[in-house]
Amino acid sequence: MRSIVLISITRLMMPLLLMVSIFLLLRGHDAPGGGFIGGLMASAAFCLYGLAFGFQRIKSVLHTDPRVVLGVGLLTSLCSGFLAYVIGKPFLTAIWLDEIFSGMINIHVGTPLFFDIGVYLVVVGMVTGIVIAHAED
Amino acid sequence: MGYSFLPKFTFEDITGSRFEHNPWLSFVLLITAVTLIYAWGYLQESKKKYYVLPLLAVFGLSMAGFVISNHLLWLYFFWECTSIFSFLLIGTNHESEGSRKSAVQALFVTGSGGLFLLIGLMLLGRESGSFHLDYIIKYIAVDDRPIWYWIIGFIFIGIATKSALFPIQGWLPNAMVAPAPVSGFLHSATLVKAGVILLITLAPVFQHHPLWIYLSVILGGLTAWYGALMAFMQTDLKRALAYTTSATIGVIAFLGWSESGARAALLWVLAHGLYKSAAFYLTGIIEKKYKTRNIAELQELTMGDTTNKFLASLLFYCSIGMPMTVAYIGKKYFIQFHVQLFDEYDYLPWIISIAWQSLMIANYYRILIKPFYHLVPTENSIDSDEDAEEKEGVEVPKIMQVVPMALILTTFLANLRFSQNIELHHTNLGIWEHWTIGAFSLGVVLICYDVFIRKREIGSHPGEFFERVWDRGFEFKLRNIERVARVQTNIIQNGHLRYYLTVFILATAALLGGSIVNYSEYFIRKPVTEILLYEVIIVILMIIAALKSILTLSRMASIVALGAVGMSCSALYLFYSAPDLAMTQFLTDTLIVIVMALVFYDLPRYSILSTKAERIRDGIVAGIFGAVMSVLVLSVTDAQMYTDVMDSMLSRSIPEAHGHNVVNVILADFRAFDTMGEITVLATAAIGMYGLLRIRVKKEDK
Repeated sequence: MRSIVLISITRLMMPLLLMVSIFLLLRGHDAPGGGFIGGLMASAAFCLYGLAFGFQRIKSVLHTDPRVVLGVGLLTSLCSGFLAYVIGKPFLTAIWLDEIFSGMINIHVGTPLFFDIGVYLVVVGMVTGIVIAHAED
Repeated sequence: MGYSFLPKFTFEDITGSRFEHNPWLSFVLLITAVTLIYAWGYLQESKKKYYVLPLLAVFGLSMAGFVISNHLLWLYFFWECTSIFSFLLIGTNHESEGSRKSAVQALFVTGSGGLFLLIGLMLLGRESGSFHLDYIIKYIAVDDRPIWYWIIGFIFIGIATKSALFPIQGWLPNAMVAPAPVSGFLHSATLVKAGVILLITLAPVFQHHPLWIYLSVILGGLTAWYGALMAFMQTDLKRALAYTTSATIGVIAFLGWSESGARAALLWVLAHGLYKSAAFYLTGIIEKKYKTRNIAELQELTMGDTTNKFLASLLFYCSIGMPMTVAYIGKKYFIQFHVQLFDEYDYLPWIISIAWQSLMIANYYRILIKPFYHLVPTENSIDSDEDAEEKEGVEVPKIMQVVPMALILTTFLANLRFSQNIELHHTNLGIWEHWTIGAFSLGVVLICYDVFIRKREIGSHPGEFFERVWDRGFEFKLRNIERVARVQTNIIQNGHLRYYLTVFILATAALLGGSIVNYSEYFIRKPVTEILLYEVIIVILMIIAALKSILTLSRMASIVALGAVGMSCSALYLFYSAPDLAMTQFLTDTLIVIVMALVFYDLPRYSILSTKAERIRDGIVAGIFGAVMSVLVLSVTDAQMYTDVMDSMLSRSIPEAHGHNVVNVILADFRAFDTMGEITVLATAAIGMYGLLRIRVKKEDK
């Protein structure tokens, strides 16, 4: 039961939703948003896609298995924590680029962002994984 | 920041000042070490060796923990540990029914006493404002309020059950079915002393309270007499020892309730622990060697056993408190305390204590001298045509002989240690002489009675009547408890999920509601702001959706209705300036509806399986829980707790983490480690769920 309306709207909405989710992720440190909400938004986008085209096709949009996304997310968060070791601080201490290279680089980016990206990927991996597994039933 | 989420326990917190200069600790460790050596020899050929030895060691450790713990609850923890290990050790020979029964009895009696003790200790801690013994002993004084009667009553029940004081004394002789090292260690030297050690420890707090004094003096005295009389009637060596143990503990309770008697009580505990465990170990050797514990039968068998004859005679010397032993000093302190407690010229207490002492001398004669020296032939002497080989007995490991010897030596050494700082009133020397001479001459009379007049050593004796009364009473009680437990289990755990849920929900509601009422002073009602029209509309929508989700017969409709409740809720969040929360709620609700729709798609429509009355009952339960939760949520928003945490997070957010969104700063920076844990849990749950679903798919493929 493919609905033309749903398919067309999904085609339009998918990129928009994913962009909004990344927007939410990036602005999370200063305004409402963050890795968790961004991840949920992206998962909702994938679910919409699944409803329109069939859940099995989510995998092809992700270009990989949801479990890989999950693992990569966990690894990203972990690595962002270990970066602090390099400059001799405790695990998960936040490091900001503009703090270390003050004057040379003026971008406000730090390990918390990478940590958040990890959270984002874990959430996406989890929700899509569950939905696909259920749909396989 | 100066707060921590969980208080850390250090060794000092547990022991306080009780670790240094603690005479009990060295006593317990010494006895543990000696017992392990003895038990190693005793159990050499036994299959239970590796069951008993570790248990003995662990028991020794928990006893050591008990004597050094400063926190009341740690004290209780170790107290219960000793009960449990005692149960396991009494049940060493669990093949025999008697052993099992005795183990259950001991666990039941000391365990239920432990519950009373717990109540008592908690009341004490609450009343004193501190659970630390150091503090309580230093600053707390009892007064006339009735709460102290309860505290002392409950604590004393615990003491009485553990130390087998008078009305609850019966489990101790029954516990003697355990192997000799267990009896000597647990049921003579340490475990049963736990009660009186607690009594002595708490003496400075309670010593002026009449209930405390009367309970210790009267129950202690009764136990002392009951034990001494019962011991005199026994024909079994080990049971006789058990009753003398009980008698001595009675005296320790009689002494230990006040600070002035505590020193005497301490010496009695040490002295008794040393010579009585030695006596038990000697009995163990005898039993292993000659396969009997009957006093008369042993008379025939031990003719040529000079080592044990010598040991037993030395032990007799120690246990009746002759000079140069630690019991001798203990006795002096006893008399000093006696003078303080009663008037010097009040003869009745003196006569009673002299009579008791003489009875104990006769008891020790019967246990330690009579089996080894054949003075007068008894009626029931064993036939003399037994061959000499059998009389020799079985060889026992040498190490076992060494242990009682070492313990006896320690009693002499301990005398040297304690006689140095002896402070006795020399004016009472006259009484000391009268008392000793009286006790010994009366003791000799009793021994003569035992040797020349009373000859029966086999068969029943009048003491068995009391033992039977105890056992019957216990069995009756146990049966009734079983009956009550069965009825109670049938009500609470009847195997129907709906009743479990009902009980669970109602209990949660009661606990939550109770604590809300209890802490109501923390909740300060904020004034209600103006209620706007769109808020009313959203709330009405929510109510309609909730009702719809209950009343509909279609699963899909009910899922969608629940989604509507969630969405309305997130709309409310949005109005009350929580955009983060609103977004999260909105997205999770969307996803939940999708996932639930996937899961429930194939399930049939709802059908009505319950009667109307059941539904009304369930509705009431749900209503109560809902009401409690609503009140809880309302109160939480009003709670004025831990505002400093909130303020510090708000003020640290920008300077330390360069972020304006405090929620995200907490998640990704301040508490990043917690978030790390959370995403790990999420990932693990997802993988687990995936695995479960894959299994189902594979089965269907086949």
